Amino acid sequence: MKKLTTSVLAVVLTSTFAVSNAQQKKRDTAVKEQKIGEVIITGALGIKKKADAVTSAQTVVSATELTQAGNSNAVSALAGKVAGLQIKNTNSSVNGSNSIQLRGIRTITGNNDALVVIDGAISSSAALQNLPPDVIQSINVLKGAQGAALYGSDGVNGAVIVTTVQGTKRGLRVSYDGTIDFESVYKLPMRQDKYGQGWSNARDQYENGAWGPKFDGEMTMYGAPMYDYNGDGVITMDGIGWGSGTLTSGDNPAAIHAPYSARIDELKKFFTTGVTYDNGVTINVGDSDKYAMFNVNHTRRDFVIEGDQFKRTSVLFKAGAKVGKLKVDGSFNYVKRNFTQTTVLPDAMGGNNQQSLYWNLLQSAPDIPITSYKQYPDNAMAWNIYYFNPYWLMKHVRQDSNRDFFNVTAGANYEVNKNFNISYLGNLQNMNDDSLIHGDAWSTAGKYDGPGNVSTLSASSGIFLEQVKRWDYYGDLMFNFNYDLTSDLNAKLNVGHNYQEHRYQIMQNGGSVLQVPGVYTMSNVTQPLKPGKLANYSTRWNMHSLFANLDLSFKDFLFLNATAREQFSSVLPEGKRAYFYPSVGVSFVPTKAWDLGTTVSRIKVSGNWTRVGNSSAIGPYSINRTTELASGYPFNGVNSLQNSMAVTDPNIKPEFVTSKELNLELGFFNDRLSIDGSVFKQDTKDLITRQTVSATSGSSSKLLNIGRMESKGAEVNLGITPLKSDDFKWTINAGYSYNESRVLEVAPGVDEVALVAYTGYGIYAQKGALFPLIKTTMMQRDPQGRIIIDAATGNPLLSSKLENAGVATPKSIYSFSTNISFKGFKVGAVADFRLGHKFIAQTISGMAFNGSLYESGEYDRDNGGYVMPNSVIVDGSGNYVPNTSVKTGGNDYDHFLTYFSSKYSTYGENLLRDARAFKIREIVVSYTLPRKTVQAMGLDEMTFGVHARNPFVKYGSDNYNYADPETSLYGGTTMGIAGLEQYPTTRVFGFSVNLKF
Amino acid sequence: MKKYLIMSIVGLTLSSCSLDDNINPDKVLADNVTPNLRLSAASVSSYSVQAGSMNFLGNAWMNSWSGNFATYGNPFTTESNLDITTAYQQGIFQNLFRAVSRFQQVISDPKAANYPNYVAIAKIQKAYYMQYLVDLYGDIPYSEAFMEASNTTPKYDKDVVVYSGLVDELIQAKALVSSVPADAVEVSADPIFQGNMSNWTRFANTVLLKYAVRLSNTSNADGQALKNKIIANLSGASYITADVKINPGYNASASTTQNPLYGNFGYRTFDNKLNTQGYRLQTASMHMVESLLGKPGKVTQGVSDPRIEFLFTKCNIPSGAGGGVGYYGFVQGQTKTELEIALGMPPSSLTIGNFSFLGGIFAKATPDTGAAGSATDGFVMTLAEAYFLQAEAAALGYAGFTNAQGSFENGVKASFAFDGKSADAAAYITAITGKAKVGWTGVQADDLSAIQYQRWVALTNYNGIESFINYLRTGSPYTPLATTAIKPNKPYRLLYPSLEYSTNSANVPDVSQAAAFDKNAASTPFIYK
Repeated sequence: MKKLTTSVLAVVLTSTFAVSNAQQKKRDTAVKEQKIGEVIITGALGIKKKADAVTSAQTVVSATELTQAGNSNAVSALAGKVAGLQIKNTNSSVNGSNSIQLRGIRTITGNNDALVVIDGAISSSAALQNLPPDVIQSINVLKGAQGAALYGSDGVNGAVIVTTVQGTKRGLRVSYDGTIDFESVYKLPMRQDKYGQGWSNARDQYENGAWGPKFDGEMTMYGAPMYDYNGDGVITMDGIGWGSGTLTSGDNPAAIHAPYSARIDELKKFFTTGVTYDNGVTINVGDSDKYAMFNVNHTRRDFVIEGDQFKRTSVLFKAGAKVGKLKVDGSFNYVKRNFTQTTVLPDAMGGNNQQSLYWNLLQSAPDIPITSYKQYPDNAMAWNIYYFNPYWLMKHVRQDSNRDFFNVTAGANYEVNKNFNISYLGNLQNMNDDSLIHGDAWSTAGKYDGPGNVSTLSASSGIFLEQVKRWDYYGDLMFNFNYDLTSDLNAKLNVGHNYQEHRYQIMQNGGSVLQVPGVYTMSNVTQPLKPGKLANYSTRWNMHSLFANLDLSFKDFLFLNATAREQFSSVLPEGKRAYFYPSVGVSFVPTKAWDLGTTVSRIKVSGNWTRVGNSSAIGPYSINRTTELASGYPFNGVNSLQNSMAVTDPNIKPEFVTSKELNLELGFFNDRLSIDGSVFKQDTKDLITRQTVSATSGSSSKLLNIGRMESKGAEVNLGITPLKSDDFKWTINAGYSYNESRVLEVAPGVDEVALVAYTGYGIYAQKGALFPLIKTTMMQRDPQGRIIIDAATGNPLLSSKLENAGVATPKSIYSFSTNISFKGFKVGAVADFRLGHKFIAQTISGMAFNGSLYESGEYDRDNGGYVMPNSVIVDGSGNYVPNTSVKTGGNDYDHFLTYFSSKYSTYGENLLRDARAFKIREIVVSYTLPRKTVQAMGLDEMTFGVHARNPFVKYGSDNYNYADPETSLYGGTTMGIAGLEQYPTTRVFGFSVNLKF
Repeated sequence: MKKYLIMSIVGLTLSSCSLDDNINPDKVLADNVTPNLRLSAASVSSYSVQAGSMNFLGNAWMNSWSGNFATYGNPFTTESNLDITTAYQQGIFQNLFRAVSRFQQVISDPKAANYPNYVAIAKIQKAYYMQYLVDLYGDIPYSEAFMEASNTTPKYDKDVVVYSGLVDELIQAKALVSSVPADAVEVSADPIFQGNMSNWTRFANTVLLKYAVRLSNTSNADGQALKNKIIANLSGASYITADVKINPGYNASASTTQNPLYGNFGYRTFDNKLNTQGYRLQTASMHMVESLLGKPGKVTQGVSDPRIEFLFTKCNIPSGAGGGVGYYGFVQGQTKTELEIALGMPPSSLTIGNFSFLGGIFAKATPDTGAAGSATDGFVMTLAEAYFLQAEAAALGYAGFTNAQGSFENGVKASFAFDGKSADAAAYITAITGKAKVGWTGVQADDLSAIQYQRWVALTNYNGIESFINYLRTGSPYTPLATTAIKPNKPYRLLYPSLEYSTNSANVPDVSQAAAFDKNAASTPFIYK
């Protein structure tokens, strides 16, 4: 017989085998066995079928796998656990956010994120992130396109089906889960440690530059005086580089005094150890006809930035009952989420000179005694006068946010007869989000004088208020039929109707220059923002769909699944609002059709074809030709309007993704060895692109259907259980996934579209190239590939246009996990390795500019730069001759400085780095006390655990910790640029306790 | 029971079976906006490009301003070394095209026939601003431009064809003025002449004259024919009699409501911060200071120009350069260290107190806020320019233009009046008369040169690009390259923006960096060759 123990199932991470039912039956101490093809899996629209009947690739992640390392964020806890699934860290702050992507990219401007479905209703990764992982029973990841085809356009990127704990049917049970995490910064950019604060080889105590002389260990002073030392009523800035001041003259004794030597560790010491507390209690009660479940969870995260804090309280109540032929279920979830963090004021309010906290911090020479300024959070200027004191920013420029989220679901199922039932599922989600950004002013007027004062940065005060309301309704009406047509042929048919309505409202207000410092209300604002700078609008859109799902099974080894959905969406142009999305798939299990002996315990072959449209790039009302208030208006009480510069093709239609997939599952030796593989190809036509258009048209961008894209890939998973006995089990799971997306066509007359373009680099969709394509300015090469140097200046010649430089998503991801259990002990690890892609690290540009870049300390600056390896110069007759003498960076300190600060820092090629990363994502050790021991204490189960997340990370050899490539993105869908607002990688060590009563 | 349940579920579903009308409730739809609601925004947004990046580039390339090395590590890098790329100053092309499209939205409005005066004003400004696009880029989209979603890849028209089309639009505009008596232009819709249509006619004539003068040196036959056509059209024409000011109600309440001259280059930001990236970025250039002071080696040698007091602030002249209070600037390209060495001063001894910054409305005010500067008028065209155009037309012998010297001197007087120095004008004119390339001599070549010199001084800080285009056209006034320049001369054009190559690649001509510096390159705008 083809059997597998349930506990093995729990660790075959990426198989299509399910565990959800098995998990609930864990009470028996004897190992329970179940046929793996018979396991019931919950798929799209809550339709359950056994694993054998599933025709597309799916992976179930159990609660145990999800929560093993105590991660309070269920989305990031998925990382490394499903081949083909990629978690991107879109925001690394205290209120971090992640997105889930399955099998790469299908759209350029639309949404590539997987659909998240929680208990049958479509939701979002943000909602999943705020759901306490304790209440999640399992997550079924529908990677194959057909699995999510029933969701129509919502499911085009695959789906993540989350099932929360159902409640028990065995009387009262109470459990407690508690975790404490310690988080610290792990990877900080390497900096040079030979040259200190200054400019042009001269000390300058107010500089952000690290262009001073070599360290000599002499006592010197740093930054502006922190207070009026000599009591003359004004702080005089006449320090080194700016006048005749000495260490003892005027107010200078109040500047920080320290020897002129490197203090590389100061950057790390700036960050504190963050602590996260996560506590949850779950109460379950029920019998065979009724159940109820109640969960309360509280999470508090104190970030590595002191004062940045996140708090979340979640209350979940679920109940259900069966009365005769009617079954009703309901759930109510309330999540309150608050955070406070250091931020910057929006540009319109004078925030344009307030770079992010991390950026201000990095504008420090390697000798700056950063932490010495901690006790001066009210001095906006610390070690330099061009960037803010990070401690001042932390205290004076903050965002406070508060979110209330309600989620109510009600479901009913009426069994008309044994072959036919009717069900309805309704879900209402309501989110209110308030945010207040406030900044204090800082001016030198009247407080400072001296030559250094004239260049000193100042800040204006301001507030920015934002309120967002979201209201979403989702309702499924389904008629479900189940007939045995013959003794061998069974048919299941579901037909139904889906209604969705989405409302969104945003209100912003704000302004600058507060009359009374520290009072953050609109009535205290003296310069309110103009209406054109504020978003104040509401949208409503809705969608009707008719759908059908047919499952045919012949005996227990041949299955056919077909789905169809006709979708009517209000966002599409009038008369062109209806689209049809079909899919079909088959599955065949030879090992059930014939007896193939015992070596090969399981073979399953499946394949499917799906065509789904994606209209996520078309916003509500975007087909309207609208006008906007022109910049600066109203003037003198009169408005003037101009056409919106972002236009939409009036005939826009969804982009269609046609997917083909083939899967093979093999099990050997009673499934002690399993191999699963998938190959897939996704073709997108009529790609919707927000195309930046020629300014000569008068518009800036146009949303239209252009181009084609092809995405293909493969996944292989290997599961091994080398050892297994009653007390001891060891499992290993290794996966490999490959994916690349190529743009086949852009538009007639256009070879590429820029999704984001900076001076020197950008992200593009280019005909014939992989997507997303990073382009940079490049040093010019001769036909032999040698870098061409300008013989006069030593500067490499730069290409005048951006050139193709690499792709921004990993081509290959290797994943690895293992679990060992011995009696009550468990050890587990999850790791992955992503490679084949590149990214732009913006930090490099700033560090090259200010002279702290590691490379810029590797040369004796007094002698200028270096002869560029493998470079050429042009001789008198126009030939390329090897360059053996012309130094890039000149022959003296000043030319070296000019090269790094204004050339090196602006050459896109220099900011481009290998994005490969190896991460051990989780290591966990836990011990479950023997049942007898805990029962004596009145408990049912007790487990202690120690865990680590990101304990070891290794980047590409040219990425000197500039940024975690995983955080590289630009906006919604655009990857490849790691911005300056992303904090460095952190790692976590923690403890957990689980008690069951 | 069963029936009711099914009925209520089905009912619930069907009752909500309609789709949203998808009409944006939060915005004014384009079809509901008439020309009178559009004109002001078009005028204001176009001028902000002229006063901002175009003014900056012109002042940098006329060697009027220099990077402030006393404060910044590497200001004015490309402005000095001339290593221009397709990424350099993309905003001029893009922002000007987008702004001018708003004039086209007035011109092409379905109800335009009811608004002839608005259409005329739109056409005059369109022709005024698009001339700069041709002067700076040569071939540009014109016949297919501004069609928004209908054509996002417009073809490029020959520069001379664009000139010709714009001249026709100016002539059409003059005919449209007051053609429908009921069409009075609302005062608030016209931030330039407040609806005074005779002023618009005068301005249209002055712009036509500017076209004719731009065409003075071209060898292009179509260009020469166009020149003659304009001269004939201008027979008996009247020109502007005052500065063409723009002010919709500029104020200091936001960065977007300031007069763009002050907003870009004034001392204080709207929220009273020091405008470090605008005001502080540049000092007066040494070339400009020495020219105004009449220092040896300059064409003005021996004649001191009082307008310097309006144009730049006084500073403490470095001790190595003689000390005292006066005017001092960086030589373009020279770093602080280089200057310290040249002056024999110790390292880090120069501070920003040693340099002259922009004066007049740009400088630190009393009280020290940006309120007054932000509220000042913008100047689309100054009266001095109009006189210099008439002087140049007369000096060139254009039919119907006489008294070149009188117009020239009127231009100088207008410039002095603009700078608040009217009382000093007469003495200055006396001092320069007979001084070649500065004042009137009666020698045509020198007088043409003198017109360019005086236009440069008159427009410094206010409309730098106008002087630069005239410099490219005539070679005057003498304008030194920065010490760090890697090119033998100033570029005759800007490179098309890189975004144009990625968004309109089938149409945009390929122009190399080398071609931009070659006067006779095919891509060089026709007015320069």
